[in-house]
Amino acid sequence: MDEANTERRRDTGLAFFGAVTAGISHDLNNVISTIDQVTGLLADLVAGAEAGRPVPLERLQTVQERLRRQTTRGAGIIKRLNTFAHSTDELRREISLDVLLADLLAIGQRYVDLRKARLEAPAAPAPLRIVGDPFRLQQAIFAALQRLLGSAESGDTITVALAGGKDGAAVTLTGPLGAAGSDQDAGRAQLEGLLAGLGGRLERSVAADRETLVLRIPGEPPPAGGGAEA
Amino acid sequence: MAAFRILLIDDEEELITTLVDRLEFRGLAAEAVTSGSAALARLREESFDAVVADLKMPGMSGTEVLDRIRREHPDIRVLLITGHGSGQEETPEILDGTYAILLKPFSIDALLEKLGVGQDG
Repeated sequence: MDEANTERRRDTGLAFFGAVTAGISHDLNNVISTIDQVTGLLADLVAGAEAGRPVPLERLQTVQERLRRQTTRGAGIIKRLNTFAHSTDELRREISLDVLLADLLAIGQRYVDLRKARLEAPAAPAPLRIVGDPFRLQQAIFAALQRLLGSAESGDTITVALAGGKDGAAVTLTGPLGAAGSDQDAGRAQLEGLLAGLGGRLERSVAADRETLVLRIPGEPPPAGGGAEA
Repeated sequence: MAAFRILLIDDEEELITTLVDRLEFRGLAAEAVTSGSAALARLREESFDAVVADLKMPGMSGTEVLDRIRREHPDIRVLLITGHGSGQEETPEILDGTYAILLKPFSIDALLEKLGVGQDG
């Protein structure tokens, strides 16, 4: 790979890392903001009790439930952030693809929500393991999701399915078809490049104003020289 | 004297539900909705003194809500809240300096101060 290509891939990788961590920081900020207000409510209730206003037990139970939900939510976000950050540690390692996909879609849910779209991703029928570059793999899946979301309107559905086979795995995403144009072409070329770097390929089809992207990911190590570079 | 009425709009439901509890604790009348379209519908039904809207929400954004309120209910005070602190990605033209922005997390006192409301209504 020449220097210009290496630099371009490094830039798109950083942009992807930045987009994901920015979204996660926003989610975490909402959790912290909510916990901040709930503890403020608790302080209000304490102050009221000190001033002679009794605190009904149900109100305390409500406060406790809200704190429990938000801390559970925050812990889940931090766990996904940690897993995502460590996906840059190794260029090749064994990946639990079903777990990686579930975590990535949980991260991507915020972008789906902002479009008021719906994400349908049935659980994989069985654990699916492959060897590859987890960061680039996530980047490719995320790029495919963002491509479909770019054309999504309120109420649109994007489906994501995972399947395994003897030659590897396939992640299939289906969603609204975008208007033809240079942005669409560039996005598709980037996706093809990411998959090529993983030793895989993109299959694309269009039917009834919906686009289907099949990300073919090899189960065996890519040929020498075809692996991803950081 | 009628209580000061505040409509809160944010898709973070537990956040605004708690804020409603805290505002009511202070003698204010507060309601919460989770979308801009629900807020506009509510504003057509009832009168409010102030609206607190999240800047970035699914569907209609806080700035779109602000734009509509500006045209349809020019007397209502509007405060935008946001978790984005960079100040670079969320600077739409509509934010011309006449509407306040509060960064999350914020204290209840800061919220009331921005709304120009004394405690206990």
